[in-house]
Amino acid sequence: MDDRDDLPEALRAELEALVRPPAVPDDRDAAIRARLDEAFEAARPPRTSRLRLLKRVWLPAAVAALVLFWLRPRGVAGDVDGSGTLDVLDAYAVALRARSGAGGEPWDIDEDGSVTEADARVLLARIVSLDGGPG
Amino acid sequence: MRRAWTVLGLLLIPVLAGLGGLARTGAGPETFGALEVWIDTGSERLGAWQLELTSPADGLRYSAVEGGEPGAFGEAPAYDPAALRGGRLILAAYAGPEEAGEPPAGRVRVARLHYLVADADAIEFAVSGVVTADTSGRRRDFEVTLVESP
Repeated sequence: MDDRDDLPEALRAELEALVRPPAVPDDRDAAIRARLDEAFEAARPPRTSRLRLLKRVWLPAAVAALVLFWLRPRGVAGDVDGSGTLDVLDAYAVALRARSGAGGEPWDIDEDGSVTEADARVLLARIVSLDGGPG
Repeated sequence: MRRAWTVLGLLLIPVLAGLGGLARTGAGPETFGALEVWIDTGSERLGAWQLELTSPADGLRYSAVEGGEPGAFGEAPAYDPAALRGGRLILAAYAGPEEAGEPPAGRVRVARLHYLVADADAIEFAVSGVVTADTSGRRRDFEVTLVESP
């Protein structure tokens, strides 16, 4: 029919009307579209945009890590026996360590690279200091 | 145990101070006195000790800090020179190296303090923060007493 140019206009229109499928009413068309949208939306995997991920996961995690870092247990400087307090037992432990010839970072109080009686004396001075001593 | 000797020390010192007139010399506004720190380790050897002395006595100040009996604790214990003004004094010492001699056992004098005080009758010492240890560095509750020096 499309390749027949010699058809009268009126006949062409009449034939096309017979061949054309019936039009879907607008309200039904809208309902179909709405239902399709709903179905597609339900089938779509949840969207996790980078911004949402940052807000919901990384930001709280970073805040929690900062809080934990701030609240971390801080050791007492010079508390080589790990008792939680600095006292003469720490100084004596350093002295005994020095006398045994053993070294090690936590024992090197004056940080001169070796563990000697001088480290114990530095610690002892700190222990009896009215500013830095116990109590 | 530690609490027991602390209480003992608190009770004894005013009494000893009251009886200690013989230990003090001089007359006038200031009186000299001396106080000794004794530790009883029983059969074990003393490795280290520490204590804190406080005195509310008006005008008390320390004039010297001496060590104990000759040997491992013969040298003066560590202290803060600023604490000689009185009030609060922390003393601490540990057994010297082998050359200093074998650490003592039994009842041993580890320090002697010389002080001046305006009102000798009001003098009183309180002891706190006591730490004692054996020669392995392990904390032990040895008995500590303060005695007015003769």
